[in-house]
Amino acid sequence: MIQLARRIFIKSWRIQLAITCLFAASVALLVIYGTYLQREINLLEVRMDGGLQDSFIRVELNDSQRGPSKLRPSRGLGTVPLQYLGSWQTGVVDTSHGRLPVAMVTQDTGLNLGIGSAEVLVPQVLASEHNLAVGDKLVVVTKGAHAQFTVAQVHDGTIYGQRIVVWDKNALASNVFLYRHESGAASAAVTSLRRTYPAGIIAYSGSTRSAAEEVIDAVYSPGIRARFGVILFITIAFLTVTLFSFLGKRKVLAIVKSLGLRSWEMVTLLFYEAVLPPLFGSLLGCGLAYVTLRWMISAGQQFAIDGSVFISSALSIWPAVAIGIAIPARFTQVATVNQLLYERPVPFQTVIIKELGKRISALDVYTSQGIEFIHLQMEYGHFNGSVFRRLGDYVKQGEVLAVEERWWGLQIVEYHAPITGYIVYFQDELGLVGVSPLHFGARCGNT
Amino acid sequence: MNEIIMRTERLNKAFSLGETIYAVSDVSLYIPAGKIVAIVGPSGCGKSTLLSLLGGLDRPMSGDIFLERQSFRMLSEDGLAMLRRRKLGYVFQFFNLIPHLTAIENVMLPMSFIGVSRLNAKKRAAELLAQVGLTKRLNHLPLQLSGGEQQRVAISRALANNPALVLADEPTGNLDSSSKNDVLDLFKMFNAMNGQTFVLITHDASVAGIAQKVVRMVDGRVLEEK
Repeated sequence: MIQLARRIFIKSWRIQLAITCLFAASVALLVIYGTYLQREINLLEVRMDGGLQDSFIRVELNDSQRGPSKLRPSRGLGTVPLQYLGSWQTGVVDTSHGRLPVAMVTQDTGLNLGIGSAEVLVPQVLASEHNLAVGDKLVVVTKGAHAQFTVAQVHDGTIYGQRIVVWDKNALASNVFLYRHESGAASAAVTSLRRTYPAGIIAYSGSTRSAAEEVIDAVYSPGIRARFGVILFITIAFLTVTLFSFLGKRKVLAIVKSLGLRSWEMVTLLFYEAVLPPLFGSLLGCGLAYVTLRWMISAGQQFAIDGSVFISSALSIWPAVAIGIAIPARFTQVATVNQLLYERPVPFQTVIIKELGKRISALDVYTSQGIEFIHLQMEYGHFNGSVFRRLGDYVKQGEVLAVEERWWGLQIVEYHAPITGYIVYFQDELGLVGVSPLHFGARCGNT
Repeated sequence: MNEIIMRTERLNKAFSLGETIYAVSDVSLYIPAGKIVAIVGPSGCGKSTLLSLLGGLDRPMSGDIFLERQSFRMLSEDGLAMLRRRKLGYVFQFFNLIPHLTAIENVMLPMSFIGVSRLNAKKRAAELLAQVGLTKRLNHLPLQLSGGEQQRVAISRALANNPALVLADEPTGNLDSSSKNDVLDLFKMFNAMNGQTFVLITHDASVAGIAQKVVRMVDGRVLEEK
């Protein structure tokens, strides 16, 4: 069998090569676009909160919600897996370098900055923008008073955001609170903080990431729709190829089935061409994308090669592969040898109707005599199928009385005799066929 | 040898070609074990349809077929395939060899389905092909063989798993008279040698001449059995 499958595969190598190229191009496109979106999300995330460290949670209140400096998030929840780290007040103040955002910290807010009271921390972005380095002087105006500070450190924005951090013993009540949650307790910690600060903006590493992803999804929605379009195109293209391949191999499938091959074994005949080109295409596409991204990085583009983007892009095409295998496999499973051999329609689904299904009170007089009915589905008094038995015929239970094709032959509806007996009722305008276990003469109906 | 290997119960098969045509109508017959049975009748009388039903290649609209007490009606497509694999051999009128495989590979194929090792399958396939006089054609593709040779490969393939019953649909229909006689001799030889039952469909009186039982069909019905 494997030998036969391999020979059939080799015989159609041109088609297989085209499919491999299609998958490779699609995966490469998805990886490169995914990497580009990933970069945009990362950049936005950094802009949004400077990339809050894992396990840190920051709560920001607006001016009207300023609270005490040590607000504990334990209201009504017992022990909460949170550790309070500190708080500060935010604002925008005049400085010797213009109006700049600041975080004003007091000694009693729990933070140990490791700097003196005449020193400040400056974020990396502002340091670059204003040419500030460690040791430089910075004048800050707070509450009308000028105070000179020395830049003690340049911080990365992971805790305070892109703000200058200054000591201010006269700072008002804090509006930003910093916590650390225990490992694996992020969800419980966030729930607790939402109860404590119902109107607060709660930021944690996951939240800003999600927010950044949402923004990027919104901004790049046409591109993301195009990505779905690519996957849909691959699905349709691959399904078309596998269906044509199935049709092209009908005779071979019929022969092996006539020799006794079961349906799941017959799928091995389709396996090579259904699995190998997508597999090689995915690997080739990943390789192509890797080389392209490396080249772009060396050309100065700020991309980060992320394995998860490669994996998700490669996996995103496999639903197409599953559909491309499942539909021909289903046809292979249900088809008889003659349907395959003589190119007769192969129904995707067969529906068997062997009882009336619902009570028709007008027939009660007949059903009380043991007559059982089936109802052929009529359209404007006409049955769109073939009726094999007529009034007066003897039928056996389960015998096919009529057949109807629907959905261009993809669905076959078979009407089976409900019991063994004689057809004693045939109403061909309504499509009612009654079978009696005893032959006591044909009743009513137009024959 | 008076056992019945196969019997049918009121078989019906209809096709809808504008109007409903019964290709097989209420056919009840039995096939005695170890005999050659010929089903004869004019073209279009339903012989091939009946043989398709007997081989489980198609489903009847009603009625049932029993092969050694096993009802076909109770079997799924896969169940029928398993039955064909072990107990039935089928010879098609148009040979239906797999064009990608050589003569010996075509004969080995059914043996691979029942788990015969490649080495043993190759040995048995070579033996069968030698018995039908194709020793020198083992590695030829079907297209490189004449009609008579292809039919002999098809017979070897049908006999590969040593089935109890071999069904042959017009096995000599596409052959010249010399090839026809060769093929008929093969049926007689395997029947005598292995005691296998053969059911042959034909409209040729000389083919029916080798049969121990003849079933005559007209308009989808069995007219007489001799």
